[in-house]
Amino acid sequence: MGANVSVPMYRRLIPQRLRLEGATCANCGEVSFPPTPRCRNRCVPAALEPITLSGAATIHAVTFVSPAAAPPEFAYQVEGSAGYHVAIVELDEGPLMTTQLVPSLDGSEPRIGDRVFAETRLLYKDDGIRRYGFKFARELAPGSAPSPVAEQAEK
Amino acid sequence: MPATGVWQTSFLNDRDEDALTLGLAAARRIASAESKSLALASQSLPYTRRVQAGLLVDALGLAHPFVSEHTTSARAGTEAIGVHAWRVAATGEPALVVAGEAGPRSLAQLDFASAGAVALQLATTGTIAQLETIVSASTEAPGLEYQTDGDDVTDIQVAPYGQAIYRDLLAEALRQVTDRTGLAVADFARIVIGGRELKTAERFLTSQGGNKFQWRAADARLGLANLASVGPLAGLVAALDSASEGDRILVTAYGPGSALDAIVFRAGEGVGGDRVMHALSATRELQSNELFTYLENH
Repeated sequence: MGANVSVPMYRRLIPQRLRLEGATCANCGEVSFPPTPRCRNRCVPAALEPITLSGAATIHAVTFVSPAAAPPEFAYQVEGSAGYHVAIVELDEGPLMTTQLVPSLDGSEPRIGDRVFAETRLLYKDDGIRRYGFKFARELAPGSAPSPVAEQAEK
Repeated sequence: MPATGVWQTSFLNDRDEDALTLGLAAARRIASAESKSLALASQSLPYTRRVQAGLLVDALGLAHPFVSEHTTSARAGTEAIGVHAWRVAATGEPALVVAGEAGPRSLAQLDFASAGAVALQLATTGTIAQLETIVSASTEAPGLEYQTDGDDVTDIQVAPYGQAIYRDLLAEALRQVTDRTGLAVADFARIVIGGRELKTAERFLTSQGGNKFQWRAADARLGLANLASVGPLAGLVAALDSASEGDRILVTAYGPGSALDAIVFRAGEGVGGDRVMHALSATRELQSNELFTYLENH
């Protein structure tokens, strides 16, 4: 199966995949992403509410996946390139998530502690069907806001 | 329009981008949940046949807006504005117009384009520019930039024929603009020439009293002809970047086959800001090996 998910599962996860919707506990404020059915602090009764995350994060750990090690779903992406970086990023709201990093414009290597921001990208193609989700990038166009997702979340 | 958004107007940064992701990145900068209609314009959508605006609807969290997709030519962006401007005026409900292009599509010169996206919000309040009039001229012109399934873009490449068609439509559109607004070519602070017939347009506009300072600034830095449906809207954003309140801006867009749109905007408060130039400074060009790999896989 690899990275491929079924169409029904993909559709159920659209709020997470396309809008970074997590969950927050109305009792203690704990944020979870992906959203969990119960509060991580085990608050009772459960009072989880949806929350759109800002998309701003910090690199917590990072590694490089070479073309030889890349899953087949990403073969198209690594063809003709040296591979891609995968990172665990800590979202500003608290949760950790695993993500690909978008190559930086200046070709520099990502480092732990770098600030990153969510962007919607094509993740892979499943029999020609495009699957979209978030990757994280380390810089934005000069003069732009910290994160397009953050701008949208504030509206 | 309350705001504009331009993300990148150059070759693709990565192979995980397409017209939809670029359009979404631009739209996120200005989208609000109040948008009741959405127009998606592109000549390079990922699928040949499928509704694709749904990705933007879900990603932006819009509540079941009226959706239209415009794909047939470089005038797709102005066509989208034309369709939704009437709806906005009639209902008072904001509309979001998103144009995105995914960059080079084939090695045939006719089909080589840059990548980029522009998002505009049309509204009746809180705008930075007023849309004063929209006109259009069209005619059947066989042999100009056509493409059938599975083939590259083709053209009969009789230059005087294509130029004559373009000139006739531009003349008709300008006549309509003058009829409706009383404005002549020389009255516009900026003119955006959308489409590939740049030299033909320049010659004609000059003969009508225009000068190159009206249209050269934006095009020289953006290469609007290679941005397909994004070009006219990117040109509009660039014009608004440098406009003063009260300036008239003429945006033209041409689709071979043929049809030509002309839209007159009047700049209001809040113009300026160098949005387009900021976006341009953050792009990089594809290297040759990346380009060939990209074209092989698309």
